[in-house]
Amino acid sequence: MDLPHLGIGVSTEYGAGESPSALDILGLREHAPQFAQFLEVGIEVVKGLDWHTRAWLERGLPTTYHFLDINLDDPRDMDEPWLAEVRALADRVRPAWLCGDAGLWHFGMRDRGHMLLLPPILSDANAAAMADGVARLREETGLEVLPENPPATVYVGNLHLLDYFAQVCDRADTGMLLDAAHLAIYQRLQGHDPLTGLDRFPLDRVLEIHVAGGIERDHGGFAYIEDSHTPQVLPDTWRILEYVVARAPHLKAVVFECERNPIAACLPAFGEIERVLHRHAAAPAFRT
Amino acid sequence: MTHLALHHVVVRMLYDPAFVQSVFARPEEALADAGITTEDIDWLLQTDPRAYTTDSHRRARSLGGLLEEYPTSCAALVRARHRSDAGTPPVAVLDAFFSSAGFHRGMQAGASLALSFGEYLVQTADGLPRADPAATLRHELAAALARIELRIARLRRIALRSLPAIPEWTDSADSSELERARLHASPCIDWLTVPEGVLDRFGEVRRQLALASSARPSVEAADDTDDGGSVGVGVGVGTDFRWPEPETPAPPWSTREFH
Repeated sequence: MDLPHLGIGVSTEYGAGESPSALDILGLREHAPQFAQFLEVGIEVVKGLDWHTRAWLERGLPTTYHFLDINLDDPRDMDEPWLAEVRALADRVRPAWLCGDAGLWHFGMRDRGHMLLLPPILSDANAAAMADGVARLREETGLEVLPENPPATVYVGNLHLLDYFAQVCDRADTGMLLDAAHLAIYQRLQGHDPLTGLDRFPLDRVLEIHVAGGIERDHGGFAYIEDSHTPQVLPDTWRILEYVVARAPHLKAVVFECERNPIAACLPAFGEIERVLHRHAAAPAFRT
Repeated sequence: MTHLALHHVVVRMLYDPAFVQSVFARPEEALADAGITTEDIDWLLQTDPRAYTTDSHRRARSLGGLLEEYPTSCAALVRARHRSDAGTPPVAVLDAFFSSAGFHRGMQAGASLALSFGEYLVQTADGLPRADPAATLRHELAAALARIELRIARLRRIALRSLPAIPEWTDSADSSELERARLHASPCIDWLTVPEGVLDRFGEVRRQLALASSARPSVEAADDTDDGGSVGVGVGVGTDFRWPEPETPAPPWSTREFH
């Protein structure tokens, strides 16, 4: 795969920059450019690009395209009108690759009020369908497509999440966007150690990592982690990051997802991500 | 491809705690029409039932979106139900959609949530008792408003990409037949017959709702200390707006075309 090294970046989606105390992505680029080397743009084609993203694009800065509106395991969902919109938006965004949670972004048809995010059914059959979707989207857009492990409070199926995504990446012959925070959520729900299953996962497939804060919750005795994107990163997530960075020779990008938090609140976590990366020469994009 | 059907079951469980209880108590019965395998059911039963109810605002958020498409019929239905059963929270009749057979049937089939909701409103309004002339008028109005807004919701979702083919003129063709074939109503226009006076009420209710929403916040903060969530949700339908009462009770209803 001939893909560029992007370094450390930030993420956004339509309207995220309008929230109170939102991350000023161009301000971060100006004051701490090492933490805003690229922008991961979360896109629903029905919404398009907000002015924050357009301002970033006008400066010709690097991006990735994070889809928010495709169920890759459902062939009917990848219809021609949606693909035409994706191609048009990709022409404007000029991303290094496409990526996004490989799961259920909307139930039934793509319609108002149907958006949610569920993880895939963790089965062999679903991994095959998901891989077909990844390969087809790559073929239709001419861009590499990196599936990402989604967050959830409930996972259904008989495979470990990492075994499922190992199958998807192998069948689609693609790289992986490993979300360390989402993986920590999954491992905690299953009662596993944060690193369970990573020893048998093909870490050479990991091209991008997400890091984000989480909040531990309790709902009637049911303990879970909320994927809050707050600046406080849980220790489980740091452990996963450290483990993967040390063993992912093709890692090209790390995103700290903190789009609704001010710069000052995010700098400590950015700094820790940078230290982890610099500790491990296995990630050539991050050697100094 | 049972994973798609299984995903739809999970969505239904996320919306309906009663359905979650049924799935775990009587799985074969609760999932008889879901089109999933016994292995799928086994996987569901291995999950924690509490995991489906961590988001206590899911129904309210979805209802908020649906209210945007059905403002007048929701207002009319809430008011009608409130008049006949003042002891129940007014919005309960709308929230009950997410536990209705129509919701579950629609979600399992991958149908539009908004259209399923519109059908629920029509069905619910049609089922309201007509105990006296005033109640009959209120309830028929609610049903008629629901039909109007359901038709509008359907029009919003038509696929404009596949318009009917228009025949070409030829010397040998029957010109009158061709003329008929070439003349279509726009796919954006549909026809609906509603009782006389309903369109005036439709416009008036919309104006009243606009006034009500400008006079008070349409979104009211709600805090759920149970899961620590901080999502603000609210419902923009109330029973305290000034309803345009008719001057004379129950006028004779005739038909009028709406487009």
